[in-house]
Amino acid sequence: MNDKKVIYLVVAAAVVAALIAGFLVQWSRVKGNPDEDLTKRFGAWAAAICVFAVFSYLYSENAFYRLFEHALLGFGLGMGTALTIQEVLIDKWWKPVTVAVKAFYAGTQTGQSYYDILLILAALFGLLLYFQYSKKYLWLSRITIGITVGMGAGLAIKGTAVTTLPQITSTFKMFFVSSELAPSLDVGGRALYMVESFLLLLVVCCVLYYFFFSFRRESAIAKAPANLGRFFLMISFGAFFGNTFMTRVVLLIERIQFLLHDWLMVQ
Amino acid sequence: MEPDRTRRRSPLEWFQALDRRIVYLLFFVFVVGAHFVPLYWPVTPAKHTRDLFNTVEALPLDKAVVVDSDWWLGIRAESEGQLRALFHHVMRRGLKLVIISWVWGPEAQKFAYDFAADVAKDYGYVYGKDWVELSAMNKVGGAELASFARDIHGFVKTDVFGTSLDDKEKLPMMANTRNIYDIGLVVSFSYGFDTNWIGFIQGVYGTPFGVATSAIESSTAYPFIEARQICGMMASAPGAAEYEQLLKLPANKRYARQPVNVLSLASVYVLFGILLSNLAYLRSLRKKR
Repeated sequence: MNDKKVIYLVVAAAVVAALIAGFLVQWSRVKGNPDEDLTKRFGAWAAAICVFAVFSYLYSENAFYRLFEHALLGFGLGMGTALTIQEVLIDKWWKPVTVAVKAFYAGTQTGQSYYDILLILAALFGLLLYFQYSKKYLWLSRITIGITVGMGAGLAIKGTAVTTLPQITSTFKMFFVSSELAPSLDVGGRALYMVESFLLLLVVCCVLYYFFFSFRRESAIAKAPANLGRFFLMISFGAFFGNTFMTRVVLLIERIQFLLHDWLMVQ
Repeated sequence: MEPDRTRRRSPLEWFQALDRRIVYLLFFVFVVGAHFVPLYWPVTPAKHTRDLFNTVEALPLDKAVVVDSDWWLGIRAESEGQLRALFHHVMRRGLKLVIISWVWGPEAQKFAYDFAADVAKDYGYVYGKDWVELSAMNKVGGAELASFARDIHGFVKTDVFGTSLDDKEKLPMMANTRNIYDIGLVVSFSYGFDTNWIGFIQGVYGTPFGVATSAIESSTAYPFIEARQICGMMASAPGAAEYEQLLKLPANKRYARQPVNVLSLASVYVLFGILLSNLAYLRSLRKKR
């Protein structure tokens, strides 16, 4: 074992010893507090270690970070599988089907039983997907894929039409608003509305023009709206970036609040 | 040519060559320190926050509010304050509350329940009588929302504890909450927001739809607000702080207040860094010329 490895091991042992000592000291202080229990404290310490492991990436890529990254991926995948089995396959398929089968067997079926028994067909359709592994019967899996894609396309067309069309109509604004049309607005309010309407039209036209590549823009007049469109896009990207920064900092703030309040119990 | 290492660097040159790890460490220390600064910046509610507040304020008492808890633990800093603020408003007004969640978001389901149960203590709200959390639903491209709108009892079947929604003794509130016509407002709490709520609920039935998003995704909501497809928005933690301000909550109930204060101070740090680094860059350009 070389010197570097010995140093790493000594440092790791010291950190583990410090963590255990810290945990025991904190536990001896909060013991007896009705709001605290060993599981909660242990959870807070485990979470704090995870936070530091992930933050250690900011210093450099390291084995400690990778260990926790892989653990997170593993936990995520495991949890996803467990949730799919429990909440989808068991709760939404197995339970209703078994209840329906029992009802039919006992002769006590209701309207719901007829619906639930049809879920067996859903499982059969789902199982057809596994014919992807057979060259001979591959075509069977395409039935399920076709149904899924068809349903998705139908829903998407309906959803998109209802979602997008009102946005197109909302870009049609009135430039001149009289007091009869907007009695709740004073002169200043009406002027502001007109400026906003004009700005909206200008931005929509310039940005659309920027993405219009059907002819070469050679003269200064032809280039000007495109440049203006790019300028407006930059403003909106700046706003996006500002919001991105805000979310990232809020995430950091939440973790620091966790470390201060939940882990170190600083009030 | 070898660089002259004996030359003393100017503070701006030193700043430009600063190791990013030191910048991160200073930022971390600054954010930790900001938690101990009792300086609260004034909060002025934005128009879209006020619009959401006014929508809740105008709801008739016989209609329920549906809260779509569709976030993940990574954005708890933004979602917790938003959820608590809306729960305070709904319960203060005496409106019925229905919380829905999704199969792949177990943390959103658990925490939404915990926050609602915590706020319910202040208003004497009783689970089953005044508020309910439904069992997790499965997302299938909007079809689930269409089914939910038509027949809540038939589609969701049980609450989060497995009690049948038809059980009038345990969940009396659900006897009068059967479909979308019994719902006065849907508010989606998520990282972004599911536009299927507009495509399958707001656009079809006209039910008002509000959102509470992360800051990143809040920009994408503006076209929908402009088109009046979204009735109002709480944007990130500042949005929650604005809502708390509108509710005039006492200081100990304002969950978004401290994060927003720290965020403001952190922004000062970043602006200072941007300013200095740009100055240093411009100076280096001038020297090169």
